[in-house]
Amino acid sequence: MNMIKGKMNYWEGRGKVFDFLAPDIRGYERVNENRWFEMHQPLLLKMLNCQTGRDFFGIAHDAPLIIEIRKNVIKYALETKMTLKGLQILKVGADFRVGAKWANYIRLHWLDFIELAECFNWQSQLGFSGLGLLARVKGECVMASGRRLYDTLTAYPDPHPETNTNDARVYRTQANDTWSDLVTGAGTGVIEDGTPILVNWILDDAGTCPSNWFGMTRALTLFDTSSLPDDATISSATASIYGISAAMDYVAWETEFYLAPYAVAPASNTATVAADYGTFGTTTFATAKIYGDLVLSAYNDFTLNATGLAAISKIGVTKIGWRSTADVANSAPTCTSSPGADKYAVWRFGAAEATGTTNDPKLVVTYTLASGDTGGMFLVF
Amino acid sequence: MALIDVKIKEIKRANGQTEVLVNVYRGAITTEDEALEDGTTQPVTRYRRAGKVASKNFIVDGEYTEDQVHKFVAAKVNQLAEQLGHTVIDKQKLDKAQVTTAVDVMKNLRETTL
Repeated sequence: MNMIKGKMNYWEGRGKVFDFLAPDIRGYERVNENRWFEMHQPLLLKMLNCQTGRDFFGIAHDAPLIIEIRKNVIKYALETKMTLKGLQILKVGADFRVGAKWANYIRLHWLDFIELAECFNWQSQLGFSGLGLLARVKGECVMASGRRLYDTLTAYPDPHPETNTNDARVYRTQANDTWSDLVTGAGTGVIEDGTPILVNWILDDAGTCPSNWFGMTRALTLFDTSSLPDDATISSATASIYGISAAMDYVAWETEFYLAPYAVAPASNTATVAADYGTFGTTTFATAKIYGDLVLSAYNDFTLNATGLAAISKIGVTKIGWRSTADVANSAPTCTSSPGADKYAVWRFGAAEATGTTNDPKLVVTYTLASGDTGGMFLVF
Repeated sequence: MALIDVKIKEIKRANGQTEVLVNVYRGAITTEDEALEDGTTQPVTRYRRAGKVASKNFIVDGEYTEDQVHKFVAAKVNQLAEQLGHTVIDKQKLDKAQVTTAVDVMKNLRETTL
């Protein structure tokens, strides 16, 4: 019976305020119709199985017992038998319609529907009038929405041994590099099963500026987002990394270290190599966070911008790289000659390699689905 | 006895349901040399996975928060460890009352082994 457990549909005005006194569904797209019918199934079945309710819906008084209603289908119990355990349904018939006939009908007769529904002494947390009022305040159509819901997918990288995705850090270490050498040079190593992950730069203990840079690390986090429906419209997404520890050996670096997510294109989704160091993009996926705003022992959320949203894959793996903005801009932070010991700017965050998932990198995608109405037919099964 | 650890791969909330895909791993806490960016190595003691024990898919009515899902998954892995005769890694170990409470939160649970 749970044929409705599929994709949600929605009704949304796209800025157009729905007029309940003169309902006009044109210009609206579907928002959460199936969910609405699911939520209100007990009430709807009460209405559909009495004469007054059938009059309202235009259903014959002598139609068989109705056991389910959805936006475009009504199911009847064609044959029943009374047993000690109650009514047993032997044969079911279904009246499928092209388009969301029942959703449209209720929406277009919304005020009458509310009045009739309240006669059935139906109670909910808000009641239909409450829902209607709420909808007017929000400028959204309640029927068939109930309350507006979005679907979400939260994805995490695989730990080692990886199956579909990975998280790792790739780096370049080379004595007597200039900052530009660090930024544009080839990667020299990778740590893909370590924990935590980090982004850093290292100033060598000896040497003279600007040629005493020693190392830089970039990080990548990959998420399997293939379970997003093909027809999903992604409305927002947040990439989050859990702060583990950090250090800035120079105070000046605290105002020069910004972290942000970027594109990355590793050769493999599960086996990072040093050469992946050179595959990081330069267009940010979200507003960068300065060192002082990056928190430890909690998630740091980066709300993806349009570029970031466009990078989310509905068929495979979404790849997010992490690097400092000084790296992206190829703009050297404050340099000190012969500091006497290696100096670090480093920000470490939780890796999938750790136990449990509470500190892992994560990507939360919020999306809606397009309407999925199909043709009409009558089935007996 | 192998130590088992559970990792959530994805949480999907749709149509009034929460679907959680998890991988359960076996491994041990060992000390091994790990490379650092500066070219040196240092011994690191931590949990290392030897392989996957199972993949499970939980579907439950209701849209649950991440925190609720994490507690629930921890409870399930405690149950699974008991069934398999493994030990749950300390961080995820729960007593029986906690397991019962966490599992009870998720009504109408459907579970599949993938």
